Amino acid sequence: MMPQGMATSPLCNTTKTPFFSLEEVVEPWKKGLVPAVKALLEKLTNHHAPEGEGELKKQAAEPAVAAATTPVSITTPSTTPAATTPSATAGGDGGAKPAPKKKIVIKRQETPDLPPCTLAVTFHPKGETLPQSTTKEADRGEDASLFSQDRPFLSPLLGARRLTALDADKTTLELEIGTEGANVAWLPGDAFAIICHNPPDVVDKVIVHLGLEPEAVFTLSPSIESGNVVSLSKLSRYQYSAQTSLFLTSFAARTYQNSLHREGSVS
Amino acid sequence: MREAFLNGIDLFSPPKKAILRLLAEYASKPEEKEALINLCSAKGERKGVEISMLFPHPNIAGSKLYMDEIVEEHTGLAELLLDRFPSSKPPFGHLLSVAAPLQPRYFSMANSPLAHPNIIRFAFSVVRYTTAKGKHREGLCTTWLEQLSQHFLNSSSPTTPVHLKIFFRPTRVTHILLHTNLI
Repeated sequence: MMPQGMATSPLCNTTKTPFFSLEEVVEPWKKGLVPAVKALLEKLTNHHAPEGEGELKKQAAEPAVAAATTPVSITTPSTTPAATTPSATAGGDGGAKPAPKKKIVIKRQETPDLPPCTLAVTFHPKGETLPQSTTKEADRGEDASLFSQDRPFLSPLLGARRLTALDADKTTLELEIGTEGANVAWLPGDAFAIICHNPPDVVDKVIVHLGLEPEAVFTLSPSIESGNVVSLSKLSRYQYSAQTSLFLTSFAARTYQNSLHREGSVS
Repeated sequence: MREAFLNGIDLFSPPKKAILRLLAEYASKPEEKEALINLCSAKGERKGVEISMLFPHPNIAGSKLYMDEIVEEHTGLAELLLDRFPSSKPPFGHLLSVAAPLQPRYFSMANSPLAHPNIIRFAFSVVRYTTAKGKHREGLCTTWLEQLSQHFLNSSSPTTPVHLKIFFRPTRVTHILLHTNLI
């Protein structure tokens, strides 16, 4: 945003400084927005007027607001009062798409829908041989780019040093780890990732709490509800046993993204 | 199973509202169910955070209650299950479908490979703090690393050798800067 433009904009009510923080500019403007949008919506629903043209006004008293610059037709009957709530209007603010002659039904988004269960878990009796997991530590001598969350490099911890005084408020440590065999080139400031795990005592408590068997071995498949969220061929990679912990992480990430995506489309 | 909870599921980050909704579904005590529904709903927004009216989707806005109890207090899944809402016992498959995966932690190399090509040095502060409501919180990864390096710090005799699982992510910005002679 150009400062000059901002200075003359009705959004900005201060001209003494060339810098505008969000708090200065947006907050006062926002205060008037919600009542204004509300007033506009009421007007629209009362008069069945399809649109109202108007410039951005920060005054709450002015009913013509940004939402009206885009033609929005709301033919909401009084039987759907939710559409007149402030939350219903916000979706149409800014890049509102014209939705002519379409009844807009916006439900009260007070409680989100139950996220779907996308995974079916099959428990296997002890001793049953499962297909060998494809997870392994990356072989030594391979290119560093081959290392990933699924195929980490096992790096020995070689040393540690406390950089802060013993009685300092916070503890800062410097650790030294070995990369011999990783065949990796890096520059100072490059990043690497450490895969950590949850504390075993908490893990055991949670497992027992949920009534699960700590030593159980299981495999995952897409549940019936999940439809085609996860393809079966992909899923076969995620055969999961005590040795194949890491695949779960990426798998969970994928399904979680999917569920988020679908949740997003609900509204 | 143990591996799934050790490495797969994030038990300590503030969970998304979807997880709270899941816990609510399987809470057997009515009061816990109600509290969880309240936490994950947009309900609290009306009295609380005004900006939420502009972004009404509960997953974007976050109600005041959710912000205060979960985000600000950094309340994790483990605490919710074990201490706060013990009556909620979601089935494993559903929990796994919704729960966030445990993320790897990124650190920056603090030394040059020109001096020691096979050694990475990195520095970090051990995360320990107290929340507004007096809960003591510790960083999962940094406290674990501190624990692992105890014998180096105390100059005591090393126990068994410790290995960290790592992988690399080049920060391309530094490479670009070097190649264009900007630094």
